[in-house]
Amino acid sequence: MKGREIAKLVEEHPDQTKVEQLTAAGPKPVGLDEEVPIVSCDEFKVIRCNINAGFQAERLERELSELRVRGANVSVVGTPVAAVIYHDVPVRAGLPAGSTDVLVKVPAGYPGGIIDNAFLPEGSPLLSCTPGGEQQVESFGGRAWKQKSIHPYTGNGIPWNKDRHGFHTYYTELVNWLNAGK
Amino acid sequence: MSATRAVRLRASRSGWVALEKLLFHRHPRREWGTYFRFGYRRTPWGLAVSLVDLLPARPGELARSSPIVSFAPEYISRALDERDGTRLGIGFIHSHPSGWGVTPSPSDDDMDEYFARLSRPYGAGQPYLSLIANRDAAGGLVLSGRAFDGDEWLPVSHLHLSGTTLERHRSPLWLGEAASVKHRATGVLARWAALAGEGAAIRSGGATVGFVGCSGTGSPAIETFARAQVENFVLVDDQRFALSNLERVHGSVRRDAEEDPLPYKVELMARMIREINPAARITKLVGNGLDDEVLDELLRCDLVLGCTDTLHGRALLGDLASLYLVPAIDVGVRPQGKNGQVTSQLIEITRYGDGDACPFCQGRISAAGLNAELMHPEERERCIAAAAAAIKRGEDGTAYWQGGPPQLPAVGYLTTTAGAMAAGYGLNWLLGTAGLPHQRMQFDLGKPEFGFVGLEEGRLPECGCARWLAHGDQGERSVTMPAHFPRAVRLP
Repeated sequence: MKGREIAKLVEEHPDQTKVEQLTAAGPKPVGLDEEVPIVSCDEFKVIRCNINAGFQAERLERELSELRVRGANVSVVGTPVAAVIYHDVPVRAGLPAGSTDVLVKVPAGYPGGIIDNAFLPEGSPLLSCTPGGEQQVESFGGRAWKQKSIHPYTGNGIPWNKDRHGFHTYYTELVNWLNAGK
Repeated sequence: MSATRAVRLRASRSGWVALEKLLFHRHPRREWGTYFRFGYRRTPWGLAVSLVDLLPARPGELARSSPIVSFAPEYISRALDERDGTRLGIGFIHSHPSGWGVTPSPSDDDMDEYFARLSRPYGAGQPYLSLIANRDAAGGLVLSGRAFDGDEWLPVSHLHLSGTTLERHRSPLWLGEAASVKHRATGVLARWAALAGEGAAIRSGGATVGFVGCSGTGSPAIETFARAQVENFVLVDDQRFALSNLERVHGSVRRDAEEDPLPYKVELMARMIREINPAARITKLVGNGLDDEVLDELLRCDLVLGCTDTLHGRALLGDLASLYLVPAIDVGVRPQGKNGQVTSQLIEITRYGDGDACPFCQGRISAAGLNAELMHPEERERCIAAAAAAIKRGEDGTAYWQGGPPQLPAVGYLTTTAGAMAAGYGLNWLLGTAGLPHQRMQFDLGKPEFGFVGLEEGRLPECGCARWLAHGDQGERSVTMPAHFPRAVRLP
């Protein structure tokens, strides 16, 4: 088989791959046009050469670090799309929970995309007493979350500014939102 | 030393002037040097490096009494501390005495071997870059260099300086491909030679020009550059040709619209270029400019022309110019019609070069519009439905959706005029024969005196383009590739 044919077995675009034959002496590169005799149980590694990141991890990490320095507890989930979970966000006294986890999706093309909306854990008593309409349920990190319609940086909110706003400033918006609950 | 991969170094002309003043202040007989910080991006072809700033020696850190560069340990220690505290790379540049070329001496080899060895325990795996500068007999700059990255030495192939002209200096020690069409081009470029002199005319030969968008404005620009005997093209477009494109896409013919599948626009452009200049080297990428593979190729370019009508395409040009110091020209049209009459024939041409404001500084990027372009289609449908429901409830729907990008009725005479003008400005910038009269120009072909408006805008200090200037991948982009955008495919 040619290297390209081997790559085609696992990748849609074999021209964008690098193929290696795994041998006892270590990995041996196989050219895409190189013919390799196949013996039973031969092993190959096909690596995609054109991996794209959906957002800049460094920027997100910088923003979350700013929050952590200020004592906030935040984490990131990578699937099905990247999202930030703000843990134990304080809630106004008098509401049915003292604090809550809030999940916010990393928008496509971030920071070109605008951070918008927020998810509360499905079944949270805060869903019915915080501003914003209840929307779809999605699963992140093995938990079900329900989206609430809040829009700090669109519509009548503060216009999104990629140099000023981010997940670090969104925390304040979430605290304000949770404090506006009735 | 790697035989296949190399380093392209970029600097602003103004920054380089300051560096040369320091480097050559003891010339012609004595050397001097300085550490510097650089941004970088690792690509399949090598390292794209951009000069951020200098870390000049403090008194006593380099020995003034020595005719060569003699380090005090304090200077090395300070550079290592700096390397530990930044994601940027730290390099060293020094001058050689006049007449001694730029080939590393045995002590240069010793210094580089030592600094490369030191680069392992300090920092976060950044490359180490060493440069040697000199002047030739005519006083012109000569530069060589090498970078140590991941246990491999890479030669410096080119230095690109971006200012009122675009300079490309090739290292005399680099053995890679040289411009090859000079002898063929001189006949073709007889008019250019008459206009600007043969020396200027043949500068197009070794240049690489990138085109993001190969349709209405891109195709006439590509044709103009091909006829000017530019040798290397990077063509980027994610679309296939359609019948309605025949009205404005140069190089297309009727039978292209009858093929099944329809050809990609980059294929049509490659065919047109080859018919004009069979020696041209063409990279064809079907994909979005935000794609990492596309970015890698654009970083090889002397100049990039942005010929798309998207906000994220425009943002990309700003990032190329600010983060990676790749100069760019953006061209766009805005035709409008009403009641059977053409009411606007607007053309806009913008330069993104040394010190120029980015599209965000200029207020040319609507955050909501950009967000709409980048959104996943399912998310977009959800937002549109939520906006409709809000309006039905008597509420403001703009919090959910403010409208998507408009489809502009771009027509051939307007796109050809705009593309050809942008190409003319680009060529003159590249050849050093003329500059753009303004950083940003708007004019309307249907208005008296073309309704001309010229603007000069500097970078806003609070904008990311100023904060992350020349930081390469160590800075922050204004827009990134959404995960749902199809990844780029390189055509053979």
